[in-house]
Amino acid sequence: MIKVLPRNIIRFLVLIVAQIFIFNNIELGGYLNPYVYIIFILLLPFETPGWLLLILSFLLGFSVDIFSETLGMHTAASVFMAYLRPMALSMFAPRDGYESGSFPRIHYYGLSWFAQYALVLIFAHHTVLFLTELFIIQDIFHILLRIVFSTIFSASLIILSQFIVFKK
Amino acid sequence: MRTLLSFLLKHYFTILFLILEIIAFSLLLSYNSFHNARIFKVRHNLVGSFSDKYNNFSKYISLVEKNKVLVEENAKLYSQLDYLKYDKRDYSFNDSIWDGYFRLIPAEVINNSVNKQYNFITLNRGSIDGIEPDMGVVCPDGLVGVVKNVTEHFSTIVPVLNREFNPNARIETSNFFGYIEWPGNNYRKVVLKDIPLHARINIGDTIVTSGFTTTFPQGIPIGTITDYEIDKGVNYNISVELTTDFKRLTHVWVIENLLKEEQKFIEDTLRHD
Repeated sequence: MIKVLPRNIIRFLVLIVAQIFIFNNIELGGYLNPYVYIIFILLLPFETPGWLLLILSFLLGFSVDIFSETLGMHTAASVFMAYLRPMALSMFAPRDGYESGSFPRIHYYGLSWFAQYALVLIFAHHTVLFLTELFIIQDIFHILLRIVFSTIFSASLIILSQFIVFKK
Repeated sequence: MRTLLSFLLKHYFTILFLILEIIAFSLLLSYNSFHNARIFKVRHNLVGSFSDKYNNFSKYISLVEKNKVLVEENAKLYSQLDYLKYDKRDYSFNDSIWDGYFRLIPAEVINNSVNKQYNFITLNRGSIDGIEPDMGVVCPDGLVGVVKNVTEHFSTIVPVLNREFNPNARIETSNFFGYIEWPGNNYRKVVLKDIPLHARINIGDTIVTSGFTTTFPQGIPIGTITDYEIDKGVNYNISVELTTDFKRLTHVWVIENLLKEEQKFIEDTLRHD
């Protein structure tokens, strides 16, 4: 239990570096970017208090913003995603609640639970992200396509990472 | 008072959420509408050196590709040299660059993106090297963009692939002029707008800078026409494929217009009369 804090700090830093130097450089079809750093918000412990969840997401989004010259965009999207997290958690809660000492991961609650939980939050994040990026809604269909495909792209990478990096 | 306090305590999650979102959106607005030089500076102090090292590494990796580009450019220059020996009448691109009105400052791209709606490029040269805001930026293939922010050692460029940047352009053969707009979905394609319907348009024609502003000399290539359609019955919307490949942009030149002040001065006196 004591290990939770340093593990999350390291995860925070590693994800920001990975996002800026690896994932920001990956593109599919010219303009689809995976945004993997939000896995940090997904994996925070169940017991994280609300204020800490929001502040951490703010810092996370803000750091990514500073390094990719998109001030405000990732911050707004991450905070929105963090705001929805408690709702998503209670929406997909197993019948007898979450066990204490467990984490929101495939390892504890299975692939289909994690996929649902992740997809809803990633979709929320990407929606805010792409809407703020354009700011004026010009071609709603084009944006919708971007949101849907980028959500699928990010979600598959995040779910895959559960099998490779965050195994335990 | 107590009810207010209990209300705040009960809904603190939502209230904190709203406060943070307001901060985020005010950041977003202030950054997009003004040059926020201070944040730019902090960012460069934080990541400038790290970014430089990372770029050194990726530069090494792409040496083969860069060699190829240099060889191609060499070949092109040699062929131009031959051409100039025999025919001195028509070389507008070089002419306007080299006849003393414009000076070129070479620079390297150290940060670049093509996949956003508002892309930016960072160069490794700054005010020490003589770069100032609003200078034009070109590469061997054609137009790149315009300088936005400058610190001592770095500068950011607003490229053609940014919805805020609409350079003047004309069709080289017929001289009709309009402006360039990037629709934001394909980093190879832009749209030339405002061309009147009586203009004759040929697929494959070259689009060049108009030279109406002091930023760029006239005749710098932007792209070639690939397609066109009529927009609202008044103008043509012409699809243009860019000659500059923004995905492999490494070496660029910043253009300093030596007679900018003089041109501005004479145009301003006109305005005051």
